[in-house]
Amino acid sequence: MSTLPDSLPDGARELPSMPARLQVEDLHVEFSTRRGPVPVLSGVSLDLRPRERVALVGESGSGKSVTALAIMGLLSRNGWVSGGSVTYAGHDLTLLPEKEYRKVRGREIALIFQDPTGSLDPLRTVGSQVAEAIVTATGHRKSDLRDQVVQALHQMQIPDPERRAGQYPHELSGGMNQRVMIAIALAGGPGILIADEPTTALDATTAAGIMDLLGTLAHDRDMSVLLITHDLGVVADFAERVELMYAGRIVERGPVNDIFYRPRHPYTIGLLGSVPDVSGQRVVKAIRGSIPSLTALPTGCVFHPRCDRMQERHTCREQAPDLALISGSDQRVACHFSDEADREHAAGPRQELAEPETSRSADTDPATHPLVEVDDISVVFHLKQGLFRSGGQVTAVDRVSFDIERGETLALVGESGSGKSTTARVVLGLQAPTSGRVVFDGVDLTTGDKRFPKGVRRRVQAVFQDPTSSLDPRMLVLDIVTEPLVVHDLGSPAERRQRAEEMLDLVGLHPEHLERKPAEFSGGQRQRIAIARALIVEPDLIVCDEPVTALDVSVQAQVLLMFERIKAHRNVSLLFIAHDLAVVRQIADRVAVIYLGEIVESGPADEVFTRPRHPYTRALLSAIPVADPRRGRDRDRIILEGSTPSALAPPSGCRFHTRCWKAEDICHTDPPALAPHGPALAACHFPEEGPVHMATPGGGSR
Amino acid sequence: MRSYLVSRSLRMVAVMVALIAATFFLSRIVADPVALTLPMDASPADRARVTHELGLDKPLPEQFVDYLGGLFRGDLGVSVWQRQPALSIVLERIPASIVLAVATLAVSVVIGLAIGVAGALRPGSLVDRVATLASATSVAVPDFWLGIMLVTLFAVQLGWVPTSGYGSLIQLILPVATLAMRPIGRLARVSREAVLEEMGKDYVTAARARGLSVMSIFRKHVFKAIVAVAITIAGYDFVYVFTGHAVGVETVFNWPGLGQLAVEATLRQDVILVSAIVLFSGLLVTLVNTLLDVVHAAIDRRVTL
Repeated sequence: MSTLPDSLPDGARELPSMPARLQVEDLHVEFSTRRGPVPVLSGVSLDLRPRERVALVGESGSGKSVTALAIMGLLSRNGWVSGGSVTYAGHDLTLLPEKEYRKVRGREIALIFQDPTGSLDPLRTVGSQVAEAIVTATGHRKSDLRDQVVQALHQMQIPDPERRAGQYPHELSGGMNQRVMIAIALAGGPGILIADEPTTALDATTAAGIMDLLGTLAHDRDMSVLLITHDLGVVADFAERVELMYAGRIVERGPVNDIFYRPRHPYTIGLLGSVPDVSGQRVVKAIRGSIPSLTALPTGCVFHPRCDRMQERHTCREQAPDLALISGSDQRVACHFSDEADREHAAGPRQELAEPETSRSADTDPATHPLVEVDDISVVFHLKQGLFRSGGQVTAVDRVSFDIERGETLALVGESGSGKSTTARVVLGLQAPTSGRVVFDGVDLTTGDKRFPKGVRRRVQAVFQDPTSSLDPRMLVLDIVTEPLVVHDLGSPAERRQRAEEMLDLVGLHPEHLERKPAEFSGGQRQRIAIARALIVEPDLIVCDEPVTALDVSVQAQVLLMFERIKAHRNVSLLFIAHDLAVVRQIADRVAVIYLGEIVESGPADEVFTRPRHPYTRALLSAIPVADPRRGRDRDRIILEGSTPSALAPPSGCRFHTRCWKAEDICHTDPPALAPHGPALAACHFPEEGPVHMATPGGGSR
Repeated sequence: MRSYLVSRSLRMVAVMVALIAATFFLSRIVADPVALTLPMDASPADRARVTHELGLDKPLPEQFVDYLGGLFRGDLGVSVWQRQPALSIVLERIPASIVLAVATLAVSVVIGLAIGVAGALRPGSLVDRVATLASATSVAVPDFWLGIMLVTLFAVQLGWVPTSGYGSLIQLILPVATLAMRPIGRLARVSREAVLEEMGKDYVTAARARGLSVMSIFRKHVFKAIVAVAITIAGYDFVYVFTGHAVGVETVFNWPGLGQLAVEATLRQDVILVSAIVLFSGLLVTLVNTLLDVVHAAIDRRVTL
């Protein structure tokens, strides 16, 4: 147990005039499991001063959400505070009886969650829920309650609040529901808002608007905000101070610029290196290994099994480091050898795990045709038709065309509902297009009996987003990985096994893993298994539908690097479906941006990222939080109004015109064609010309 | 909501038409009314006369049209056994059946929900464990056996209530107790699970995070969801009480409802009367289920999507 006897005096020295509004000291939380109590928080301390914005950052299982719930006294039945205190206004909240605690919740400290739609009662109108919050907060029901509700929704910048108040949560978009949740949370006029992953479930353009709103509200209402997130980009944009968590402990703390530009803890350094850089000027580096299980925590420093700085020193294995102040700064770090960070900086990149930049241009032979030609495909879904109800139709994919060359990675980028996954399903032959053709290596896959010839099926493989549900939990890894060989009747059992071992090696797993079942692996390892399964038949094309979205940042970097390695060595083409532009930037040769079923812009990745022509691409790029405070706060911000229109009733003319700041009359009526602009194609009547404003990474200080 | 009402009503009518058709054709397939009406040794001339009188010499589709016309005039045919219009016999029995079904439903909803909610609010407590065991047992006990046991104990041994009969509130107790046992058990289990599931949802945590007490969250938010679930179950239970299972219980308690009538009519091979009973209970069940669906939709608008 690491205690922090000196945290208070130092905290006071940092900002002497401002006592903390909320003070968490040496907080320990345990959860009961079948194997006995498990420590989830092991001595977490943090302060929140008036008007301060602090980010509590960590990957899954780090204990960041548990910290929030413990502060609120909302731990589930099997969890309890086993030590430490949470001090607010002179009271230790952990000692408060439930009845007193309820007066703190909502009125003093408010909490909003990741899933806004799930956080609202599905059976009541949003207006009545806001009204309830107002009545709970003020303790009485005023006659103008209805006006207050509309006013509150209006302050959250919800358009048409009168109408929205009468609607149910399922009738509102996720971003709109999050605004309602914020209205509800703030009804009691709290001094502290804890926001637990408030934008993680939202699309990038929507999320940018929510973070913007939170910033404005915090400022106007004199609130302190504790932002809980795994997204370093959001942190860089929003926070003043950062608390970095790992395995139930705070491992580094400091002002946001110090954390991003002078990180001391090897985990912080590794995490920052794992974040893909949307400017494309820095290559992803990975931390090895994965997050430890809380039931079997490493001894000594919990990070030591993944640490490069440790170098087999016994201290790290035997002794837990304290969160010690670095002299001459406001930064604290829990590392025995934090003074070595400077030397590592001087020595350049910490780790040479990054692959040498592979040649970005695919080896195209102009004489032959592309590997994949997607020619003008549309997919129309007919809605459920009742006995007496005529169903409408949704054009999920609208006349989409693209080619994929051999060895090339094409990224298809879009927000939810854009039709990107449907397009992937068409290329995989899992969904027949309503019109158009898919030609694979000269073979038309969409005419005839609409079934893939078996030879083609082998050459096109898939990797999906959720590695847990895409692996049969009852099968051994050996059977999972060799299944494609069995299906295509390739090799003898011995040969198959040997191939499987090679594939596991290629994806960074060991031969002995073949005899295990998926449940024994972490998310990142499962995704490696899924990739090994795709690779074993030596496909020419792998369709990857959000393959790293479900993974933690540090693991995501490992998998991205693995993709790069595979690309370099196997000459395989990738169709990479993603919503995260930074990830795409890392891996794609060419990019196609899709909005409401239509490709609005496509071209070489460098071109699209540096000189985007379409306003939507620009907005999307600007919406991505950049894990670099100076660069992030300097960049041009475009915050789109409203949310993506329903695909049931797409706007006329250019589909983007309802949210576009450049739209003129012609955009309402005439759909723009995809026309060449330099090396790229864009569908816009008024394309942008210049490069986007992206300051150089690190502002020169890294 | 309005379009849901319209489509749900149309669906109800469609089901009713299908029910009428099925009843008609089944009754024509399984039995020969002429043979049942006449003595065994009737002459062919008599047979032809009765066949003609009953309209059975016409083609089947035409007979169906006649049958439909009869329905609209309130004519379901004449009971072979009682020599009376089937409709009036059925109508005479309907009140007793409805009293039994409604009382059973009311009792089971109130008690079942109470048991389920009480257990769910303190999962793992003594109350919860006893309730879970009791509801599991109640679902497993056959009701004709339970009926006989209850009569033996409370009517014969203790003499607290009459053994059987119809007409007073006290005579209602044993049949309802018998019939309600299974719905109570089922509702208790389902509502317990539903409460636990709802209380674990994010919106409940969110409501707690803004200072609401668990009890007021239950009252203001969760209860509505539980009622929606209970309504669905109650719909099944109504069917269960009204059709099949009242047959045994009505016989045990000599309750003059449709179930008892159905038993007698079947034993006497009175096809006309049996068809009338089947049709009537079928239509009633369809109507009740539609109403419950509409109530469900009024509570949970997502249903109307």
